[in-house]
Amino acid sequence: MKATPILPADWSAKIGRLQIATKSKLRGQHKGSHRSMRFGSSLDFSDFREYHPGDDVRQIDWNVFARTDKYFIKRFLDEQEMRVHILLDSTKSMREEKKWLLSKQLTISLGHLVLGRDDRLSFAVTTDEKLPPFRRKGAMYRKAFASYITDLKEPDSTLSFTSQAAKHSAKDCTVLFIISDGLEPIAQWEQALRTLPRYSQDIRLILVQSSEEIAPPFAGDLQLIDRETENRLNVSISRRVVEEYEQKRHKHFMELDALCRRFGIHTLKVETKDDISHILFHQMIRSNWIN
Amino acid sequence: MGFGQLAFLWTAIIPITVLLYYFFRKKYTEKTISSTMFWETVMKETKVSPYLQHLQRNALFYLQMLALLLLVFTLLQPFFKTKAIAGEQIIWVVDTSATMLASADGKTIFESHKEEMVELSEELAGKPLTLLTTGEEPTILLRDETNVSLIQSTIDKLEVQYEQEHLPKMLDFTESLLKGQETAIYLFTDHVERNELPLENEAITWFVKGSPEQIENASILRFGATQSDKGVAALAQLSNDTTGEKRGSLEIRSITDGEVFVKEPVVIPAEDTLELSFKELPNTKGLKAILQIDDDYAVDNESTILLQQQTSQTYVDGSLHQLVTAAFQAMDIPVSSVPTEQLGDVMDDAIIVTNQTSQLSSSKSPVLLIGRNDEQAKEVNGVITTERDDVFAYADMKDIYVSSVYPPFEDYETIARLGDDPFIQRSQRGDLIILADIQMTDWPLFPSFPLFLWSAREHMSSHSDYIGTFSPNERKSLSLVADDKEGGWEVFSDSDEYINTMQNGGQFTAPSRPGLYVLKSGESEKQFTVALEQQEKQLEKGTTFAIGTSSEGSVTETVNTSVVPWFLLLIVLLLLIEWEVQRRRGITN
Repeated sequence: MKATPILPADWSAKIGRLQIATKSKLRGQHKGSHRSMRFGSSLDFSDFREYHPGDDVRQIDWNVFARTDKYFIKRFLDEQEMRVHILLDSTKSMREEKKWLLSKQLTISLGHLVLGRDDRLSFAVTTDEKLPPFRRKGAMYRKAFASYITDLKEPDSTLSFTSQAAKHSAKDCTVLFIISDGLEPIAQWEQALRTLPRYSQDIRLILVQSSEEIAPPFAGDLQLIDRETENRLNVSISRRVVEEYEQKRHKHFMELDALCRRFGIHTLKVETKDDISHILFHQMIRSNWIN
Repeated sequence: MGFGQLAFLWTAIIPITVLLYYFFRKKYTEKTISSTMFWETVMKETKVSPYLQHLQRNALFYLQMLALLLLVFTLLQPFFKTKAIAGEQIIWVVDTSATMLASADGKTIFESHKEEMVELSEELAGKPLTLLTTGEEPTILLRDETNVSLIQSTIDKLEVQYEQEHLPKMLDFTESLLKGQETAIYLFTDHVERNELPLENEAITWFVKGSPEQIENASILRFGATQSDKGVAALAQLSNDTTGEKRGSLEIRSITDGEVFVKEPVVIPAEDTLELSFKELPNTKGLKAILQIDDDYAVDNESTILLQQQTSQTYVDGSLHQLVTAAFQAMDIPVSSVPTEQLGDVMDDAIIVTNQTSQLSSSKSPVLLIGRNDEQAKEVNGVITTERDDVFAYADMKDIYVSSVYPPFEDYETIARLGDDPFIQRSQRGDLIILADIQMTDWPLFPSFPLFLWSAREHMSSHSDYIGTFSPNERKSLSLVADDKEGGWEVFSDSDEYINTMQNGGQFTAPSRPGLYVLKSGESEKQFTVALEQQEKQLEKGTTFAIGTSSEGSVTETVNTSVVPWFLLLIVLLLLIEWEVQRRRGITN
C-alpha cells in the first residue's frame, strides 16, 4: 500500500556508499561490518602479543614461534555490528506536512545507511499506544523499512515527546538518532536529555524546522492554534511581534544547543526548505555524522 | 440630565449596524502552527489582563462604537440641569446712591453687593443680563449681555455715584425694559419697602438685596451760614439715627485756609437731632463742617457751604410784553408778574425785568432792562454783532431783525451792536440793558430769545465766581463762556485734582463726590459745591426679600445646559484616536 515513494528512486543507490561515522565503542554482540577497536576475528591484522596462559591457543602464530621459539598471539581487529536506534518525534507538532515528510525521508535515509552496512537498526516513534519497534539487521530489510516508514500514520501523540523519549529509546545502542522539532519547553528537554546518555554514548539530535517557523510569513490578525495543546492565541502580526517571536525562538534553540553540549549530544538543525540530499551530503558529512 | 430631541433616537440604528457588522465580520484567521510557545511568550507582555488585551485588539471597534454612540447621544441634545438664576430675562438694578457707602463688617454695602453680583453672574447660565445703575438719569451699563467676563468686568468697574437713587423713576425705567417674558429684577440697594415695588406684572419676580444689618449713622443733617455785619452765623443740625447716644466732635473750618474756627465735643441723643448754632465767626468765603464721630457712614459727616447769595426769584414788570413772561416760562423759570408801581417793594435778591430805567439806580437787585421808558427810539438798520460774552453762550443773534433802538447809556459796556449802534449793554453792577422794546424786533420769534433770557438771568443771579450748589451728578446748563485758548472749562476738586472738562456750550455735569470744586478756564475760576441730597443722609435698615411668581420656589431654577459642544469635541477626539490606531496598525485588516 505504498502510496507515493517519498524519496527518489535512485536514492538508495546514491547513499549506498555512505556509512554512519561514530566514535562510540559500544557495539552489538553480533558480527557486523564495522571495524571495532576491539580485537576480534576480522581479517584485519592488528598486532602481536606474547602468549599468556589462558589465551586461546588457536591464535598462536606458529610461524613466529618457529623463528623466535616464543609464543606469540596474532591479533586481528574485530568487526562488529553497530546498533543504531532512530527515535522519531511523532507529537502533533510534527504533523506539518513538510516537516513530517522530511523527518520520514531522514529516517529512511539513515535507516538505509544502517541496514546497508549490515548493522542493526531499531526504530521507534513516540506514539501513545505501544507499537512494536522495528528491529532488523541486514540490507535485505531496507525496502521493508522504507515502506514501514512511508506508511507511518500521521503523528498524533498527545503526550509530549520529551516525556516519551526515554521510554522509546533502545539500550546500548551505538548511535541514537533523535528526530524532533524541538518545540517543547527547555525545562522538559533538560529532563529528557539528562536521562538519554544512559542509552547511548553517541546521541544525535536532528532538529527539523519548517521555514514557516523560522520566518513566519503571517500578516494581519491571526488566531494561532497550537497543534499539540490546541491552545488558541490571537495575534495581530506586526513587525515588532515577529521580531519578538524570532528572538524568543532563537533564545530557545540557543538554550537547547547549550543543553545538548552539556550532555554531549550532537545537534543538527535541518530546514524543510532544504533538499534531503543537501542535508545528507553536505550538512551531515560536514558535521562528520556520516562518511 | 434630559434630552432635547428624543426623536433622534432613531439614529441609534447606525451604531447598531456597525455593531452587527462587527458581529459578522471575519474574525481572526485561524492558523494552525506547530507550537504557539514562542508566540505565547510574545503575547505574554500584553496579556497582563485579558480584558485589556481584548480592549487592545478591538480598539478600533470600540472607538468607532463609542464615537457613533456619542453621536447618537449628541443628536438627542442632552443637557444638564444646572442651577441658574430664575427668569428668562434678568435685570440687575444697582443702587449707586451715597448711602450704599455705609459699611458693615468692614465692607461697604456696595462692595458686598458687588461681590454678590459677581457670584450671581456665575449662575447666569447664558441668560441675557441687563445691568442698570440708579440716579437722576438711570444708566444702562449692559443690555441683554451674556458674556460673563464682560459682565464681571462691568461689575468690577461699578462706582458709587452719590446721587439719590430716584427709586420710582428707576422702577418706571426698568419696566420699560421688560419684554413680556419671565423676568427677574434684582434690586441691589440698601432699603426698599415691599409696597414701593410695582407688583402688578405677574411675570416679574423681584429680588431685593438690602443692606445686611442695622447700620449706625450720625450725620450733619443741615449746615447753613449767613454773613452779616457782625460776622458769620452758622447753624448745624446733627442727627443720630442709632438707638444709643453718640459722642463725637464737631469742627468748623474755613475752606480757604483750613483755619479751625470751632471745635467742640457733641453728644447727640439717641434717635434725635442736635442743633448747634455758632455766632460771630470770622468772615470767610466758605465753611466746612466736619463731624468726627464713630459711625458706619462717613460721607454725610462733612458738609461744605459757600457764603454767597444766590438770587432765585424773577419779577417781570407787568407792563412788559407777554412774550417776555412766556419766554421765561418756556425755560421753566418761575416768574412773578409785578405791577410797575410795586417794583420798588421787591426783595433785594430778586431779578427784575422791566423797562423802567429808574430801576437801574433804585433797585439793589440786578435788573434786566428791556427798552427804555425815558427815551425815544430811532430807526436803525444793520446786522447784529455780539461780543464774546457768557450771555451769548447759547443765543445766536445773527438773523434778528430790529427796527429801532433806544439811545445807549454812555458809560455802560456794550456787548451787542446793531450796525454801529449799541444794542445790548451791561452796567458795572451787572445789569443787562436791551435797547429795544419787544415790539421793535422779531427776536421773540427766535429760539435764541428765551435762551438769552435764561442766560441773562443765570448770569445775573449767580455771583461772579460762585455758580452754586449741585447735587451729585446733577446736569445743568450753565451760561459760561470759556477762555478762548482753553475752549472749555476744567473741573478741579478742592485738592486740585482734575475731574473732567466741560466743553464750551456743553452741559455741565456736577462731579459725583460731595465737596468743594473749582471750574477753571484760563484765568477765570468759579467755585461750586456738590452736596449730598438730604435723603442720602439717612440710613434705613434694609431687608433682603423676593416677591413674585417664582419667589415661592427659590431664587434659582434649574436650567438646561447643553453638553452638545463637549460631546462633539469628544467625538472629534475619538476620530483622531481612531485614525491614529488605524495608522499604526496599517490598513491591512
